[in-house]
Amino acid sequence: MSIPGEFHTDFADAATVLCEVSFPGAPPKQVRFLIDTGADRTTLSPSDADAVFPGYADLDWTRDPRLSEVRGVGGMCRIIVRMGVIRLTDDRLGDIDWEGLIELIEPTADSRALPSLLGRDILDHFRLTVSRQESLISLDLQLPATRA
Amino acid sequence: MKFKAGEATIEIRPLGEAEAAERKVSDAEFAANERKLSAIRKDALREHYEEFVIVSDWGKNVRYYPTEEAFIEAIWADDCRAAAHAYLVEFPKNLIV
Repeated sequence: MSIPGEFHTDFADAATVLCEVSFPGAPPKQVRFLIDTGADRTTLSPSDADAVFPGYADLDWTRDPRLSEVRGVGGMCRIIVRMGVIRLTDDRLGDIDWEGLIELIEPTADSRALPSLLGRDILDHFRLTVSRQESLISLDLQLPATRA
Repeated sequence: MKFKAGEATIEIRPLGEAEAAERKVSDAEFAANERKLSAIRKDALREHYEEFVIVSDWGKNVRYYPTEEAFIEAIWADDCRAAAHAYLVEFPKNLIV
């Protein structure tokens, strides 16, 4: 088996996957991510970041040491990175916890409608299958010993 | 099992049958709530296209704001943040249906 995704109407019928996200000091929460092979890193939208990252409203968007600017299809936006865990559940393997840097997007008028993105920092470790004809989206973890 | 994955790490933790079943129920509940919110939001946006809409508490609370300023203020107000993951906001002008 594998991790199933879903073509989701809230994301203009694009490929999405449901994950659990957690940061130190906060309980895990479910977040639906747009599967984005064009994104270098995994990113939380302002509304999802506000829901899962404790203290999101108090982040300093001018002086945080882990603040940077990124350019995407929608233009420039500011992000702050924090260590967090993204959990995907595989029917056969169990929980797969990816622990790494997650980007939090600055809340602005332009950014608030952005989706959360599952980027290549995570996707590169999976075999991703997307077939609209078969209504199939799946992620299969490629274990180190089995990689080509 | 734990291994390095670029700058990150990946850990696999097998699930017991009970835990796996519980996870399925929880995901199904989340997806059902998502579908409910999506339907409510689309109705709200069709009827109030020029306004700004916040749906919270998994669809129990739908609020409309006549201006962008009022909408932004409401999004970041403490009472709205408390709704945390259950709230969903949209900016009708940018909505793609």
